Amino acid sequence: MIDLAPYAAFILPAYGFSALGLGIATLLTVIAWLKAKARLAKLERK
Amino acid sequence: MFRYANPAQFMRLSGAVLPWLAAATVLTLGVGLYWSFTVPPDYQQGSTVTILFIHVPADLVAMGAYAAIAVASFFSLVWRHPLADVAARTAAPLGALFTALGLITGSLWGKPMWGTYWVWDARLTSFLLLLFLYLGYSALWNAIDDEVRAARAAAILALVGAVNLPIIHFSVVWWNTLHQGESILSGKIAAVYLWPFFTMMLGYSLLFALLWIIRIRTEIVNRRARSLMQVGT
Repeated sequence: MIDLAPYAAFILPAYGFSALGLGIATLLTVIAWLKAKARLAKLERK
Repeated sequence: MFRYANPAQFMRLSGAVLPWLAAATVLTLGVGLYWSFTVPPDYQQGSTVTILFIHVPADLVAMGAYAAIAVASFFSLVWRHPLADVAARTAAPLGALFTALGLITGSLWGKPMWGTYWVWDARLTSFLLLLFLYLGYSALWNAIDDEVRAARAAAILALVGAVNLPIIHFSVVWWNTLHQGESILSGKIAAVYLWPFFTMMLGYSLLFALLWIIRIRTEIVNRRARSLMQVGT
C-alpha cells in the first residue's frame, strides 16, 4: 500500500468527499425510483 | 435508433441491462480503488498522485455528461423526441455532481502541489463555468411550468453552453495556466498509473450511466403517473 503520510490530510478528504457525493447521489436516485414505481403501481390499482 | 428510443422499449431494454451494469460498476470501482492505493508514489508529486484516479475521471465524466446533454438537446430541438428531453434533463444534476467533485478533488490536489486551493486560471475558471452552466440549465427547467417551452429553452442554453467544452479542453494549450497540460494521452504519465486510472475512469463512467438510466426510468414512470392522474380528474 502507498504511504499517504505526508499528504494524507489532502488525499483522504478527496476520497471522502467523492465517496460521500457519489454515495448520496446513488441513494437519492434509488429512493426516487422506488417512490415513483410505488406511486405508479398505486395509481394503476385505482 | 428511434425504434429503440421510445419510452416503452427503453424501459424494457434498460430493465434487462441494469443488474449487469450495477454489478460491473461495483466490480470496476472496487478493483480501481484497490489499485489506486497500491501504486508507488510519484517522483515529483508523491502520494498525491492517488488523487489523479478520482479527479480526472470526475472531470471527464462531467464534460462527457454535458456533451451528452448537448446531443440530446439537439435531438430534442430538431426531432422533438420526448425521450431526448428526459435524457437531457435527468443527466444535468449528475453532471453537476461530477463537476463539483472534480473541482473539490482538484482543489485538494492543488494545495499541496501549487500551494493554493484555487487560482483563477483558464482551466479552473472554465471548469467552474461548467458547474454554473449545469446549475443554470436545471434552474431553467424548473423555472418554466410548460414542459415543452422549458425543454426548448433549456435545449438552446445547453447547445450555447457546449462551446465551453473545447475551451475547457484546450485552455491549458491556449493560455498559460497553473494547471498542468494533458499528460495521459500524450504518454507523459508513467505506465504504472495507467491501469488504476483507466479502471477508475471506466468505473466512474459506468456509475454515471447506471444512475442516468435509473433517473430516466424514474422520470418516465413519473410522467406516466402524471398522465394517469390527469385522466382520473
